[in-house]
Amino acid sequence: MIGVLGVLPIALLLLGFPIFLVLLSSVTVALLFFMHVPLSALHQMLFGAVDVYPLLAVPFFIFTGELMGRGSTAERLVDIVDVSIGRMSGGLGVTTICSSALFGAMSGLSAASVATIGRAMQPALQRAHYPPRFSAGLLTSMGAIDVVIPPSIPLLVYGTVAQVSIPRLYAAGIVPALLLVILLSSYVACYCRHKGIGNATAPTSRRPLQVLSRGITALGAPVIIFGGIYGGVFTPTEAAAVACVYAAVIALLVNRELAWRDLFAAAQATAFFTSQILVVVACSVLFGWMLTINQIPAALAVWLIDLHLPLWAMLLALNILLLVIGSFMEPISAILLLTPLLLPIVKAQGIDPIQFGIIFAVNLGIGLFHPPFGINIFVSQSVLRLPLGTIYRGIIPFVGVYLIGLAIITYIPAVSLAGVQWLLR
Amino acid sequence: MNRIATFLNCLLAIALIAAVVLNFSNVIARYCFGHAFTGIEDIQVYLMIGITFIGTLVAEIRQQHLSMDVLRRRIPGALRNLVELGEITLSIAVSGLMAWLSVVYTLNMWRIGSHSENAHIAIWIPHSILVFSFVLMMLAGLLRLVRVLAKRIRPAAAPVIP
Repeated sequence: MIGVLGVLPIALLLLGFPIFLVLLSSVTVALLFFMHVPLSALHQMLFGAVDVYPLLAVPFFIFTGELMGRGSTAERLVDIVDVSIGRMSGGLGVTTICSSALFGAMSGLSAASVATIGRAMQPALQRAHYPPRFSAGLLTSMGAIDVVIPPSIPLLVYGTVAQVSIPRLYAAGIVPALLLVILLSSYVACYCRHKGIGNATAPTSRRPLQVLSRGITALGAPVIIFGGIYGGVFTPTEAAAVACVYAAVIALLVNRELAWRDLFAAAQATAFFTSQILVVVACSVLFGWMLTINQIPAALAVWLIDLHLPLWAMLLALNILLLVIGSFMEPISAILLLTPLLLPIVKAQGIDPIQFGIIFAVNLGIGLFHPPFGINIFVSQSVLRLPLGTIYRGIIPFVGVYLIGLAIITYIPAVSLAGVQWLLR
Repeated sequence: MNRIATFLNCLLAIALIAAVVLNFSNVIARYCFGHAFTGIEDIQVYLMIGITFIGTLVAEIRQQHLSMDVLRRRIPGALRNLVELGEITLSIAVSGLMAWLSVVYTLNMWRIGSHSENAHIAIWIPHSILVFSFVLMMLAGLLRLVRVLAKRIRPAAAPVIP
């Protein structure tokens, strides 16, 4: 059984088989040859895994991000942030980070943020004489914050698999996301002051008002999402649907920068991406069920507890494991595969599943731009036309900054749980 | 096959837009008129099931499933072809089995005549989405297998004598 549920899936994954096929075939082989469970369970579980209303938030948030990404929302956001903080040392770099975080607060997608904000900021960074290596590192690494910041899709998927409240998870993500923004901004500001680069000109007195009036619509989506969920007006799914309609109305009717054809193209891209994610969700629920009825997570938890590792060592080991896996695997797939295995261990150690969700997300976020195979590295390479060697060298200091943030989030539970206590008292 | 995939993707886009409109209408109805349509949630979830499984069929036709292909790209040519054949065979076997199981389950639902709780939709209708998807996935897999094998069996072109 260990061979079928352990060795076979790992071997097929490494051979590049589709993730859904790996999970589905492993469970099928286990049911056919090792267990006495009716095969009709396969159909029932697959159907039941997607027959879940809260999962609708996944396509709705992706659709919002697609619509926002196709219009000029990114440029409008960048202008607003630039007017607010652009005058400080390294202001353009800090603007890049804050704009990416704000864009993530609308779309929940890291790669979309790197592509969209990256395209908007790259020429300005070049004009301000930021070193190419530093710019490459900044633009590639900034999207990792979006894995933690609500409405993060990986956090939504984690909440569904781990059966943790999504509003609580989103509330927990706010402080760690702000911490990462502050750490990155501080590093960028110190670097720029030290090198004497990137000092922006002061805006004219009229500019802030112009920029704010032009970009106020861009800030509506996060207001709907956060205000709606935490004001108790909407469920996350409803907030996502309202944000979708808002993004469509702004892009089609207010800013008039998208045609109906573009809306349909965005819906096509969203539907396809959603199917790629949700079929893995369905198969991983099936795989998780198979692991559970064979008591594999419980056995693993008992084994780890018997090692009598101190909590800090256990957390360190989990972080190393997740960092390694995150640099090879896309966050949603990693969450779906590992949550059923790791959650019982974490619970047995007395760690809050919400804090673990945030630790999980930050690790996988770092994995997104971590050499050798972080997805955002290839997004930067293809969309921003940055050379791979420059990106690899540029991201090294940013990995260091994120690791400091990860250590704080891992070893100080209050960082993750403060948002829950403040927002959902 | 690509035309079928494009057509199906258009249908999925319409389903997605319909789900957004239904959800938004329900929000408006609840907050503005104090009345919500409970059956709408069922319809949205069934649309999402359609997007998931028919979208998987589209991904199968386009060969764009999520996978970890980093190591596969480094496998030497002959071995990589063998791995591809293995993947296609496994895909056909699994989709064939799933198609069979889905047909049996859907027929049972049709015979029983059960309906969803709120929208009162016959349950066999959403379940038949899995039948549709897995049957066509199996056929797409068979077609891909034939193409791959035909490429192998076809004799190499005779060398051109200058």
